[in-house]
Amino acid sequence: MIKFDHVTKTFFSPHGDVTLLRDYSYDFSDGTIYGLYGPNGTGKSTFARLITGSIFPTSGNVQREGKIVPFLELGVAFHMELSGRENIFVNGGLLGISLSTLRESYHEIVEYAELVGSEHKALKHYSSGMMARLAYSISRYADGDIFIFDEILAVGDAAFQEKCFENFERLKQQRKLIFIISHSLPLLEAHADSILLFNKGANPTLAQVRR
Amino acid sequence: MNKTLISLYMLSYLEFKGRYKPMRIGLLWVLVRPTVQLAIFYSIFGFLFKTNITHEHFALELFFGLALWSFFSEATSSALTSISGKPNFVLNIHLPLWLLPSSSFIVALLNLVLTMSVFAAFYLYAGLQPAPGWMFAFFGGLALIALLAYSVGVLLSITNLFFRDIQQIWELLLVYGVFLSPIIYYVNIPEKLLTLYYSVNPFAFPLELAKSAFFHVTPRMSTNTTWLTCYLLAAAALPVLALLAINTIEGKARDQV
Repeated sequence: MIKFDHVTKTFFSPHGDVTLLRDYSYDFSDGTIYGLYGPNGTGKSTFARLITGSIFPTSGNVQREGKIVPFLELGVAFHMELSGRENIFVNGGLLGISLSTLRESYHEIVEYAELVGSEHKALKHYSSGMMARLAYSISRYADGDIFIFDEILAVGDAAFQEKCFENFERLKQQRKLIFIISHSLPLLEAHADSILLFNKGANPTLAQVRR
Repeated sequence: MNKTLISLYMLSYLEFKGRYKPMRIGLLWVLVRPTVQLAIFYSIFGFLFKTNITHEHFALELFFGLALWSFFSEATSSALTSISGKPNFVLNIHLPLWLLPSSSFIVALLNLVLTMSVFAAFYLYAGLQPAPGWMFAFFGGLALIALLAYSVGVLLSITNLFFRDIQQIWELLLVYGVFLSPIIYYVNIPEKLLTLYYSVNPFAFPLELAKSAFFHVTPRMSTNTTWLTCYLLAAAALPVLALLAINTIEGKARDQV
């Protein structure tokens, strides 16, 4: 569960302060997929970072119950000069996946990413699709309670997106709390239970999805 | 292994391996570079400036001093940009900030260990004998330099988020530090200014202490027990204060990335 308790977030700058959340309170319950939708610059990523704890509220409090697994950028720690194999261990380790899990699951990760035979090549020789598949394949082994996916669906093809949604459903059935940030409203309407709508200068508003 | 230790290991691996992987001989550079550097020193001080050198193994002593200085310089310089240079790591992975300068320190320490193995090989080949109690002097000096490098690195990494000019200032201070420390030559300091000199330049005492393990050097402040006690207390407190500082202003620091 994630609880926003009177959270305000302001970025202070000599060019003018920007407040993206003002005294915002809400409880996000487990077993739900929340979509985060809105134009650029309205605070979706800031909201996600407040959830993960990578930025702190200016005032108020964000309470987290459970382990958070953030995918705010797929393959965030990928190093282009290192091989696919090395990147599996480095990225997996930084996502909090244990080394024993990575060792046991190594072949499954490579197979799921459809990279059998290419895992020893340097990442700079991979296409963007291959990198996205690898990053997502690693992320499946991250063990947590709260998952946040930021625009990861924009990088893959239709088959990749299908795999992602299968995984979201699996996580939901396990009563995990899931946040998906996307610029595609139809996609969120198809898969999210509720959508947080972000608008400039206002707190996000929640809309239930009816199917 | 817990998540923090795994993250620290992975960050260090990424920095160390990523640095050498694109090169033709890769990790071998870690050993080749100090070996060639030492060969250059021997050729210069063994032939070109032979008459100006006061003792036979000046090149080896210079190499040793420079290795420790390079460690301090590398650990602090790479820590300085360790947070500001990795915004993706700070904002998109849930990592405590102190891990980033810590991984820069570990990589610099690893480079030092490998450089010291080259030094040890040459030292033994030259038939030299370390001083009695050399382990205490060497590891004691090294530990003090490491504490200093780590603390300064952590403090620089957060200072750089609020005051980017520190990069240029630190670069200049490092240039000044090479000449202000007993690396290339011994700085002649009047007796009455000794305390001030060793207090202003905290690198000088541990360097002399480490050098005393292998060369005929006496750490000049080792008999001043009052100063030594203060120095050791400060050396122990500095990393604690640095970590306290980075954790206290973590929220504001993250907004600056």
